[in-house]
Amino acid sequence: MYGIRIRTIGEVAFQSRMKMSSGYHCDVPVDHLGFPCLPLTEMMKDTPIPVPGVQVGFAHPEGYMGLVREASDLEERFPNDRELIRVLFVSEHFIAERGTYIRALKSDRSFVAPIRCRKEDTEAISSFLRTVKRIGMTEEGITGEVELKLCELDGETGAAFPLNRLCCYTSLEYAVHLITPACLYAPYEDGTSTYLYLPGAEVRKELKSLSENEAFSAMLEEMAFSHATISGEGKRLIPVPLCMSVVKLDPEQLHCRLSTGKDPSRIEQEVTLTNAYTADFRKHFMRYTKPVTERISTRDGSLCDALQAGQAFRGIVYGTDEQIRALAGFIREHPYFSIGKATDEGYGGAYLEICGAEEEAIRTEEPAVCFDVVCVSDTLLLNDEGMPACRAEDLLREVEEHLGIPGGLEIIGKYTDVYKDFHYCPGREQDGPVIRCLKAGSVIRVRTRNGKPVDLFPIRHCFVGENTKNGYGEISACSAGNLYYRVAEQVAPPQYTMEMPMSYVKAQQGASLVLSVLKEKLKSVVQALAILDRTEYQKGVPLRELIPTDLLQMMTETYVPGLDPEIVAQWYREGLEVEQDV
Amino acid sequence: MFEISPEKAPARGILLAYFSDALVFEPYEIRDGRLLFDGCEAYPDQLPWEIHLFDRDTEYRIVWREARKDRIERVMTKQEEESMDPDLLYTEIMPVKEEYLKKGTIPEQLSVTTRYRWSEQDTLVMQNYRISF
Repeated sequence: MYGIRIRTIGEVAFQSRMKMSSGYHCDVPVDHLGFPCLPLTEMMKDTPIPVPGVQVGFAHPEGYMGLVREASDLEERFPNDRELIRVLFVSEHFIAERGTYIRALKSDRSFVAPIRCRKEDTEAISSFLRTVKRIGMTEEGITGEVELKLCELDGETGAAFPLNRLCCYTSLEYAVHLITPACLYAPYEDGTSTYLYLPGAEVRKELKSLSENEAFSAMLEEMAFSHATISGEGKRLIPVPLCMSVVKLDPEQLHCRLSTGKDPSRIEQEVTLTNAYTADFRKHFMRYTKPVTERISTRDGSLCDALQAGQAFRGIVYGTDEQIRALAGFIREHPYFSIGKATDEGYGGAYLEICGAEEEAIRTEEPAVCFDVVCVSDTLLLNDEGMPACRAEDLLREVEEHLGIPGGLEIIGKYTDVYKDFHYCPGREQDGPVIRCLKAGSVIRVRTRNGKPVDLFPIRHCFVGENTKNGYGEISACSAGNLYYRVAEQVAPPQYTMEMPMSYVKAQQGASLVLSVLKEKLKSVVQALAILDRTEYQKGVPLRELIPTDLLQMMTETYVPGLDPEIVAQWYREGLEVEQDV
Repeated sequence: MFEISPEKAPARGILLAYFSDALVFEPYEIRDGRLLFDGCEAYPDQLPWEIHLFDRDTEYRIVWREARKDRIERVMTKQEEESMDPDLLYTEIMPVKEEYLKKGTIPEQLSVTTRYRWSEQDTLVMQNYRISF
């Protein structure tokens, strides 16, 4: 796996479509933690790499995957402090003539961008990169001087799940950790223009593109890929059944609704959970999450939604033991791939991680008279006319078929929705046939007609209907339970959860980041304190009478124990003497 | 290669076939029991999801059904619709995308006649449809 290492010799500023804030003539895009997230393809648009078929991802600070874990921990303690991370990499200059600011990358900083290329092209790419001496604008004291180098990125990724040679595996669970926003373009989705999961077909297509081995590609075609849904609590989350709703109990939650004229005396209002995912909807206390999206702008000027970087999505691949092992070995050797739209611009960059592998489940009887069947993914069914079937009764028929009891079940409750599937097919420009299918989250409650229990094992987790190899038709069944009230809490999807192998360098980089951020935090607090004393200082009160030595020492011990008191005192003096923006 | 029953399809017309990664929309003719495009046989290597062979009056459709591992063949004719309840028929005219019109013999518009029926729950459901031009 290769990367482009960029070292800034001078400050670097460039025009980008991604604008962080208004009033900046040039800005440096950052991710939601504050780390620069550099669209290298856009930065080098005047000197593009002259090798066809090369895909360059976004550039992040060196050791990024380790740094984000530390930064995520810091954010939990010091929310909204992404500014402190940003200033470690980015400087600001005011341009008096234009009346605007420029943000530039500081000098002597290192960034790495993953690059997908063939091994035989590495020499040509390396030679070209050596000729690139400047990037971006060269004015207002910004030199744009850089050093680019092609490097190998082995050892950057997470620990691989060890497969036991004595087992006979039938499924492999993998995680896709997004490091740049990914747009799985779905122009007809409600609300957003991206799927909120990674379609199985798309994952298969990207894995095929990493390999030049036709036999391996043919093998992938035989395997079944489920959709990769948002990951949380260390598990693959499944859609919350559409029948579930949340009740707003707090009048403040009705603030927006009151503005449209709703009756303020009604506090309890129900909201159906859509696009929500949970680990287990049967619990009394259910946590659910919704994938986070953001807007991106692609080179052709179109605006579309994308899954935010940092989120992880888990999916399952089914196949023979030999296929599973071959795929696991391949993922270990090719941990980085890009998925979705505009990957040539750096979007959709992701790391793959193997989370687990399972053997065929041992059959255990699960007798039930009354049970629920939930569609975990959109389910395509065809009736005997070859027409799409999207009624609850059609799903019932499929379930009876799987259980071998045609006509033996009846529906006693249902909550279904229909989704227009445009037969998402990566690589195909035209739309496919539009087929109405049962939407993910559709649920039916069924009961045996004769009152005798039936074994749920065959349908506990299986695939029914059409296009199952690409993740459609995933259903799950469980005994019906009556829980009228339960508590639900929405939580943000966990981010940057990939397990990274620790090394001395990574430990040092992480510690250095934390120390730098805490020092910046302490400096801002000390200088804010100095502002309060500025008036007295300007009246002529001596510094030695003003400086609150004990307080500064206490603050130092809180943030950066052991820091030289002279440094802290110097910050205080700077705060007294200069107009500071705190 | 997929097999069709040439005697069920119109002798000459348009083929619309959906594959997993491609769409074929071409004029065809059946000669000596063989399906020909521009006078030659050319089949993609993979099985399609569904294919439609149609002309003004008849559509021959094959749908491959993965769940039952079977294929469903249907022939629908305009003549059948003449005896159906007109309230249960709905015809929609659809323009063809410009990129396909370059092939010369593709018509500018297609007609889709949807056939409805009443379900056991007294709801109107789509029973079938016929493509024509």
